[in-house]
Amino acid sequence: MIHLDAMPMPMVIIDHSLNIIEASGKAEKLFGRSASFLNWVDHESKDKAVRFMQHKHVEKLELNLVTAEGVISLFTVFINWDKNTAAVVLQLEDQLIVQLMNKVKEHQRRLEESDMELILKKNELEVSFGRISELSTAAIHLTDEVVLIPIFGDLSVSLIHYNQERILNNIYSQNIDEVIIDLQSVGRMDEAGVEELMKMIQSFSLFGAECTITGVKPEHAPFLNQFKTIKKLTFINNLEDKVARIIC
Amino acid sequence: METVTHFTHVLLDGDQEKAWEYVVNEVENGTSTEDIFYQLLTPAMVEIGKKWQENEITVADEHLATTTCDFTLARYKHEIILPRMKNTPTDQGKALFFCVEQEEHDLGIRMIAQIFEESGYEVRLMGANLPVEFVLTMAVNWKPDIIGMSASMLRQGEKVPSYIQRLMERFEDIELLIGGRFLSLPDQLLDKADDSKVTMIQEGSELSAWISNRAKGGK
Repeated sequence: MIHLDAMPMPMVIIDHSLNIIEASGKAEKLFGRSASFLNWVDHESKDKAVRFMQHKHVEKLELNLVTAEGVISLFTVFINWDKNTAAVVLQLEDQLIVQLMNKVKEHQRRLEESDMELILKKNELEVSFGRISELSTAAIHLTDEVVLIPIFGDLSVSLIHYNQERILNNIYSQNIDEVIIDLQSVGRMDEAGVEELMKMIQSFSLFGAECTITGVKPEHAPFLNQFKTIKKLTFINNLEDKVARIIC
Repeated sequence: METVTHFTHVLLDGDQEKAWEYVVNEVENGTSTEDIFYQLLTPAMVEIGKKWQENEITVADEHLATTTCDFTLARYKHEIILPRMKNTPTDQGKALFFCVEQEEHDLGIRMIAQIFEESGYEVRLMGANLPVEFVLTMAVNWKPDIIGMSASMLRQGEKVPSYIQRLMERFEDIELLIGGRFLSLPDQLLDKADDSKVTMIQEGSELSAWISNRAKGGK
């Protein structure tokens, strides 16, 4: 008979109670010394081991075994009974699967990380966007009583919403008499955005401030027709003249 | 029950199209997401686990079934949940989900994440095997209202108390949900936490109750 240690794989001889009668050097090195085979079996595989190795004598079985280092690994267990003893060969199964799974997980983790980075970038962008929006409607004090608000970019509901409170506070607290809104740097307009602007201008008049709109482009004109209903609102076509008059 | 048996075989065959047909059929019959997840997908995967214990299938078969189920779930999110939620506000809060370190069984937590999504939450799913440091970093940056964690195996479940502790000492207002198969194992040692911020979820019905209770503003 060939000595167990000559076998290329970890191997043990067990009896019907799953006691280890003899273990190869490879097996003991991998799992440590033990009186019972069950000591090598992971908690959640024990029932399976008892049922299929002790009660039924199957020839092949997958079990999770715990190595001496405490690592749970999947083994295919080959069993060959000869009267009162069985030769058991243990073949580590999941190395290839584990390697593949780890690769897949690595990719997943990388995706998750870039996903998280994107979220953080999105938050940063939102902050920057707010700042840009604020800068797009700066309130410039021409004199103590006159404020110029040049609007840059697209005239949208969100642009007005974002800045309305700051502008109104400014006009109220500084006792502003006249607000000049310059639209020459406005790109697109839509009806909802124009309506919000109109509401804001109406609020100016509540504080007693007059409003002048300048820099209207031909393509914006149709949107602004409804503004004619607002009192204390005038349109001018040349900001320079107006500023010159104020400064004189 | 018979459907579950058939569906189990479809998963073991790795037949993605057929698996999807089963799910679509349920959707068309008006079955809710919860029922599809808890009464079809979950029992099928439990059945597959039993088959391994019964020495009827190998781990390789299990992996194939898992990927098939995984694919079905991904498709469910994109073809069923997202279109349903298109015009619904996500205003119930932010929920972050993950599996504890070395826990690779993430099908359950993925289902839970989708259920939260359908309930009007903004959801981030960080997936399997997540060390607590990653959770902390994400929570600091993203500021979730709810953090849900899952563990399946006993050994991984033993890590849950330290996760709870690390998260609770850092974030006072976050609600923690603990779930996964380990809770039902006789040897698990996690106490029924008396803290109102920590909830153990063993059954789907408990989660549904928790969600609807929270929507009403209750505790």
